[in-house]
Amino acid sequence: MQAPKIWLEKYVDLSGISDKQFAEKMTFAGNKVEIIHKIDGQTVYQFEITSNRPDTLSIIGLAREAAAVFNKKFSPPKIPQPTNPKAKPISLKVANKNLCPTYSLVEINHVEVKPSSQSIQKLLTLAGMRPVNNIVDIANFMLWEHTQLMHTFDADKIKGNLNLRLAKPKEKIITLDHKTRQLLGGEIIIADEEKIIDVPGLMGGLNTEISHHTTRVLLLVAIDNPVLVRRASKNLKLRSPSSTRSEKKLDLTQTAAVAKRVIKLIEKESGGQQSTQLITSPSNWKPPTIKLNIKKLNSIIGFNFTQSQVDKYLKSIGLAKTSSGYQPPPWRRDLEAEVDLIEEVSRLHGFNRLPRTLPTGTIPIHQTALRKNWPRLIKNQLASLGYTETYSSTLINQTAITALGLNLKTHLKVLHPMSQDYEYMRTTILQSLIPLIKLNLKSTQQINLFELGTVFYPSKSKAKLPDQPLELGLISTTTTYRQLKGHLESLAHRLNLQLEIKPSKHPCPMLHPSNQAEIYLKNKLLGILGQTLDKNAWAASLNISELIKSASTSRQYSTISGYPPIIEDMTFTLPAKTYLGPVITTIKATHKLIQSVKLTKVYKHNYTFNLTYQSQTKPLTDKTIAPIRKKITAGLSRKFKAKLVGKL
Amino acid sequence: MQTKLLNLKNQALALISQADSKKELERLRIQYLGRKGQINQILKEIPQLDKDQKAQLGRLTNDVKTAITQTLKIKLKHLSQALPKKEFFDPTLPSQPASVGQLHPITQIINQVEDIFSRFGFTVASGPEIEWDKINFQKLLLGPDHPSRDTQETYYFDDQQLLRVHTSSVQIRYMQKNQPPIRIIVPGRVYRRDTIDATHLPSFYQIEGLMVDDKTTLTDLLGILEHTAKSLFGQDRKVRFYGHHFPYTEPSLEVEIQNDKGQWLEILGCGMVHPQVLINCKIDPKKYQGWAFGMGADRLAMLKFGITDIRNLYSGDLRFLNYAGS
Repeated sequence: MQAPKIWLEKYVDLSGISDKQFAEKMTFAGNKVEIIHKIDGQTVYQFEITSNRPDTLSIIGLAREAAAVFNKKFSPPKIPQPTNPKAKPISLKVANKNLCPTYSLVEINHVEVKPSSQSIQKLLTLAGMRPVNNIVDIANFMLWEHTQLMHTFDADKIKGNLNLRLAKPKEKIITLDHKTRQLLGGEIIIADEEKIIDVPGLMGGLNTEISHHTTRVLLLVAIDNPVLVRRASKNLKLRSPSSTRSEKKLDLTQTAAVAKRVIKLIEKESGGQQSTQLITSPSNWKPPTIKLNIKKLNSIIGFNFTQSQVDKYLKSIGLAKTSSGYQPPPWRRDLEAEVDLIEEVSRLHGFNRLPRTLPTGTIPIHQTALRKNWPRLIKNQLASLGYTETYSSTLINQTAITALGLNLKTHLKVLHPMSQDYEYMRTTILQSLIPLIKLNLKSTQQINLFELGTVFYPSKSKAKLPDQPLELGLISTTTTYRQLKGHLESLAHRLNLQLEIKPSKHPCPMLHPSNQAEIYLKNKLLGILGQTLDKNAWAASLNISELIKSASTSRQYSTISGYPPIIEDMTFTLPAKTYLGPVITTIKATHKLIQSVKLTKVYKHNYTFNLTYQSQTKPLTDKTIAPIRKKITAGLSRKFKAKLVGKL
Repeated sequence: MQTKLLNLKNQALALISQADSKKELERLRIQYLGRKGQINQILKEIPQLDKDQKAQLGRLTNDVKTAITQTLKIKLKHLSQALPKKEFFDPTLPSQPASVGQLHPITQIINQVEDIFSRFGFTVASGPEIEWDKINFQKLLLGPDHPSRDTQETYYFDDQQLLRVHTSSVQIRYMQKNQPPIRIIVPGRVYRRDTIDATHLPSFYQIEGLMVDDKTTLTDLLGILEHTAKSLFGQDRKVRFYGHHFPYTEPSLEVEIQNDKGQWLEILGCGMVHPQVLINCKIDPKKYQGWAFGMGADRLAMLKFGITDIRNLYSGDLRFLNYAGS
């Protein structure tokens, strides 16, 4: 909302207040001045107006606020008394008062359509509007002054009487912007006996447009149902200064006063003459009476306002005090309840003038709140392993899916994307990470990245939200498969979990067809790891939401054995293409004295394992170990056709 | 005599520890433990003692002999060890850089804010990014026809499900499950259907805070936010509050902090939780009151680390990631 200072000064004296002071104090009170423009040597304040305050989408509303904020007198515009000819204007039948709670209607004859006077043109230009002709300019001028919508029709182009009603589906109108608009039905429209001539609150019809031939003007000053206007504005994709005002709760008491000002202005600017009565259909609006408990006010704000301070602040913005409470003025229909008045008092006092305190009271202990901050723990662990954290977009483009061989149909798609780059929801973080290898290889060979973020799987039923787990993605050009596996295992170890990594049952097309594996926790598939297709990097993804369901960090101390271990190597020859994991598991499972089995050397098909035997209760001798060795050798021979190298 | 023996022992141990050659050690061995050594000299006096004293002195003599022998042995071993030969060593060799990972600047900001609020008993909560219209909007008093609910800025999947536009949805989820006192901090990704430029991406991070109990006030909110800004940006950092409008808080405020150039930058919106929002979550506004805020984590990170283009934060470019932040 652009408000030229000279326009505001018609209604409030701003002398002695600098632009900076004005902007700051108005902002603190909730009327944010975003920019101070200098246009043709004039100061123009650009306000950001919040949606609850349509009254300040006007010069008069802002002047009223300024008067309250700077403790100045507000001088409202004078309302001229119209002449009262006997003739009646074209009649308007409103199908339901709910559609149009109030309006004023009048005709003005003998107008001459021509450019408006310099004074009006100047103010409109400063406010950011383009002057058109005297009739249109006056309507815009009064919209800017009062937040009051009006429409002027060429009365000679109207056939018969008017009806304000809801549109039926597929009815059409060509609007002033020369666009043919098909209505969905349910929009408020005004039609004469032949055609639709207006979509009130949004835009008029071309068929009754004011032109240079116009001599008789029908003026309609009305307030329409804001919800229906907003829906129509959405459906017809019609946004304008009119629509942003008419979709809000506007003053229901001012149509007649505004109409009287418009009649006078048109007469002055166009030489026309009021030719009919001014007909007004008043609204049923009555101000609510709102109680304000000063104890409640002070307990919410944490400050001791006195009754006289409260009265002063509320009076300054037009509230009337009655025996049972406060009555807001008709332009403040946003004030409905006690909490609204609490806001008014505190903002007019100024938040920066309130003291600062810190919460006291009981610190809550909720089960949900006492959970470990797992994401942070996991991120710290990965950073310490040498991975740098990255954040990527969760919205991705089609290519990011198809290039990795994935199916578009398994991806959620937003309804109205702003750009094709942000259209689908990712289903794995690897979609974000794999392309980063190519990007970073331009500057470095050492790429170690991780991301912990959300991925999205469509839900089978619309009654359920999609499954949206946290997923961890890792990608590295410097690790080997065994190192990456070690990183994942160390992460799991930090959470007191043991992962199982197995050959892929369902190879993922994003990764190298053979060089990949699946990650399981207690037989549940939680992720994959493998080499990228170009073999530049190893990558892994892991469902962290599932993982942390079983995670814990509390670990019980287990006594270190006081008896020395026996540590020795055993070397076996294994047939080609034998998976080593099950071999190691088999060795380990042979006897409970075997504490660990490590692969230490591979030479051709010979694999050397380093075994540690230890007991908590007694020293070990070769006599105890000898039968275990035999059992290991027999077991591996039976299960894997393994041959021991050397003799027992 | 006992005193004599102990003095002798102390003297011997001291001399042995100072000895710097095997020859010297041998001399000391003879001096103390030799046939005509000092200990044997003292023992000559034993026959004059009674039976009990003899036994006692015998034990002590043995202890002293053992101690001296042991010390001699250790020192001898020490002197026999050959020192490593001197060789050329270059301390000016270049280092091998360690492979160290970095947390993302937004994570760093989130961690710092979480830590500040944990001092006041706040714990971390979270909620889904694809959310119900009911929770993202309606329960927060943004009804289907509310003017500040601009469909242009929301990504929908159907008429019910959407990408949350703020972390305030988690306020609703949390309050529906927990009665006051409530103190939570909610970092998370939110989405806006904006045109993409240096300051707007389809998603960004917010950090939501919510406190509800029987007495917390607006001045508590002002105090804790000023404390947060100063903790993040330094004691001298100026903060200011001004009136605003959010349907789900009343009074509603926005907060600006001053940057190094003296410009005021908006960093968060906040306010007292609207009583109707409490009612919507089955919390009695006659008994309880509270406040909430939502700050832009991206914007804080940009301000703190001097990042000018928001797109850097989501670029995945290591040249940026390895140097941004602290």
